[in-house]
Amino acid sequence: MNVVVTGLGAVTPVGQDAPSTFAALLAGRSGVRGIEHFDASGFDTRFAAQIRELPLLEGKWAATDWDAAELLDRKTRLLLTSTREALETAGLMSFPDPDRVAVCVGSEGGRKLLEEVAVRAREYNPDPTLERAAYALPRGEWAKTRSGHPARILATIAGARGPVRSVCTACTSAGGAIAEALYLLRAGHADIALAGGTDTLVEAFMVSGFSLLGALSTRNDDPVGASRPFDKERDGFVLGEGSGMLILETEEHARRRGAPILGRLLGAGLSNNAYRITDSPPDGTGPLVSMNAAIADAGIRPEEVGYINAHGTSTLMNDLSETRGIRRAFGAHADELLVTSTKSMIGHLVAACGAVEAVVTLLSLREQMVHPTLNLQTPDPECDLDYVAGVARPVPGLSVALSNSFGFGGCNATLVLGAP
Amino acid sequence: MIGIVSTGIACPLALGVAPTVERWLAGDSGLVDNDRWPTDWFVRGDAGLVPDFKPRKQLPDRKAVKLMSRESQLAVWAAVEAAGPKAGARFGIDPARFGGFAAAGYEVSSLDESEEMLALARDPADPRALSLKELFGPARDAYSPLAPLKILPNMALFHAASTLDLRGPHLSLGSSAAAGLAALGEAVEALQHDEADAVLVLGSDAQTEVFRAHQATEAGVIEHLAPAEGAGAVVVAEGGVAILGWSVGQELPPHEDPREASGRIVHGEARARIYAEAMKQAGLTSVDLALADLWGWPERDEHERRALPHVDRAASTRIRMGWLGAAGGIIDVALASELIRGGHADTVIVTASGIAGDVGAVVLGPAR
Repeated sequence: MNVVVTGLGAVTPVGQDAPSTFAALLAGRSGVRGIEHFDASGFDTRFAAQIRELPLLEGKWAATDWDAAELLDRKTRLLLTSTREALETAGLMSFPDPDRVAVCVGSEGGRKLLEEVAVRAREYNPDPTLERAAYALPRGEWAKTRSGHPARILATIAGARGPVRSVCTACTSAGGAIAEALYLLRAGHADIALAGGTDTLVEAFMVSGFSLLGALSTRNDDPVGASRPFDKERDGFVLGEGSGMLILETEEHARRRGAPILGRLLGAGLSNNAYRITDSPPDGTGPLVSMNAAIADAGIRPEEVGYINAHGTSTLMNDLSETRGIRRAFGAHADELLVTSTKSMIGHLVAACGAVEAVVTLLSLREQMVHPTLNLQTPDPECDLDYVAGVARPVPGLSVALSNSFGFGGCNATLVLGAP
Repeated sequence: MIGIVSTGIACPLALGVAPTVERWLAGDSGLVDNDRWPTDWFVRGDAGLVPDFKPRKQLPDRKAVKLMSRESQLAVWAAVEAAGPKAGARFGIDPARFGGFAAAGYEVSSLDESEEMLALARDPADPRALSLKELFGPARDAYSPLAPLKILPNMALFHAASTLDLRGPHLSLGSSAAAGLAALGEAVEALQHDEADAVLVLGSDAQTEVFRAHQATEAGVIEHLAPAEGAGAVVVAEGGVAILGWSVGQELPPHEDPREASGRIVHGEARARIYAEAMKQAGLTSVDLALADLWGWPERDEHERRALPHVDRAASTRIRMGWLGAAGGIIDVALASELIRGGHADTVIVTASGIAGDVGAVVLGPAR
């Protein structure tokens, strides 16, 4: 069964929608700047890729008609924004059969805001009773900490009544969610799937956690130059926030309703490194398994792939492991591939990155143009592919591309995307 | 036919499949006085606690234990019982073709973890104030940089995968009591579509942590069910106890307020449709036994009973083990498999529903 893409949406640090995001990326514009969401003056890392202004939600998307606007936290608002755009481009402002519409969202839960911890502590410490600490937060706050919260709210507001899946695999959450949507469509559980991801990591607890792990760049004197995937001087990733959404449909369903076909989801591959929590195997085995599985699933030859939107985090180990994985998967054809890192401009959106990068890959296929990898000034001799350094490049005839995501906990996800 | 070839259980009844089945058949309860934290203020004083579980002594990698949350520790124990320690070798399957699908827990870090971070972040000049500078100053070296990783939802699956060396397709589904049944169904389809030769399906949770338990009271659960912890694991492959049918959907009507969801999900109509779909796939009109989503809440249970197909016996692990969150579905599936394997039932329907409105059913039977 063929699965096509009929809608795209994104909200990112460089654009409030998919077209403006792609235009900014082609122009090589960075969304990284000093942290504005909280006072980070005492932090080792004091910059991030932030969305300065949340897009306005109106009507049903603001949930005002069911008195639940307070449940729309930042990551859910971003998800609703990207979904609204995707549904509009798909011409799907209502569903012909809501029971046949699935929702698959990559999101992470359980992240405490430092403010929440502080509220509990202030209640707990002077008079240490658990009851005071437990009741310190307003009723309903707990719902927002559940990883399934964004998907549940989206399904409710959009009126999608088919299967709802929340995929929680760290940085591969959105890639996994899109793969899951593909499986649901192929298995006949739905005709349409809203598939994407959302995340908002620029807050004190997450910046502190990733900083303690030594995963973040500390190039505070040059935030725009901090995310430098595949560069010899790379020193870690840059946290970001955003959301991306694809509307996937069976080709038969899309053609029957005369929907625009913006691209194709040809296949997906998932794997686990079974190695270390935060590192990929240096020999690239994990990415190799997911890329090989995705290529096999799509039923294509490796030589048909012209472009890879890499995970490309700008950490020492990821970029090396991914490069080696690509070399092992593609052999001599690796020298013909274009490989770019969207994270060089919008940072690492963690649970959302796979969705935003899938949107970018689909627009690359459609426009026959790939964005550059920013800040690649001193090539790492061990990262020896064509990373499209500095300037966007036209790619006439580009028909098949991969989008890679790799995550903490050893997860790997690869999507195979095709031109319309 | 695709089925369940192996199981692992760590639950309030017992640690291990055989003693769990024995205590289940004896009609025992796994609920005990909750001695984890003072409960004089709390709606219930009992809890479903896994007995005799000593992670440092019983898990294969003692060093890794300190990196694991409680649900990860329980998950690894159940996974090792089901498939370990080297799953590929045990089942003769290439690790790259051995997948892992999981229902992730509710992953809210514990009071201990919060307290640790807060203690380090306290401003020396004002003990009631937090100082980020302090956290990043003298206290920094005292705080384990890996501690935040404990609360990532996919960590239980990662620890199981690394312990068992599973490198095939991986998926961790979040935050619903029905997520385990969804993961099981996805595993069946992964095998049908030749994406893997075997999949470990895992569900683990620890609703016994104080704030999680409190949050469950907010959802209206703990009035009826004791907070509980546990993990279930099953290996899905060709053969074994047959998975005859499965269906997972949702019964939350548009504009239902998720804060109230568990209290209001008593409609039954969508639930009946989902159960009927699983039965239709199984080609059955009746089953011997239902391990059902019964809570001891009369109005709610009446809807569950009405939605069930014709069953000779309906029983509930929730009433005897407590509220196991994301772990419940797979513990039930593992138990049902063993009841069939032991000749205590011929066909079983397992049902589960989550706070957010997800509902699922799986029908199991002898190998065909």
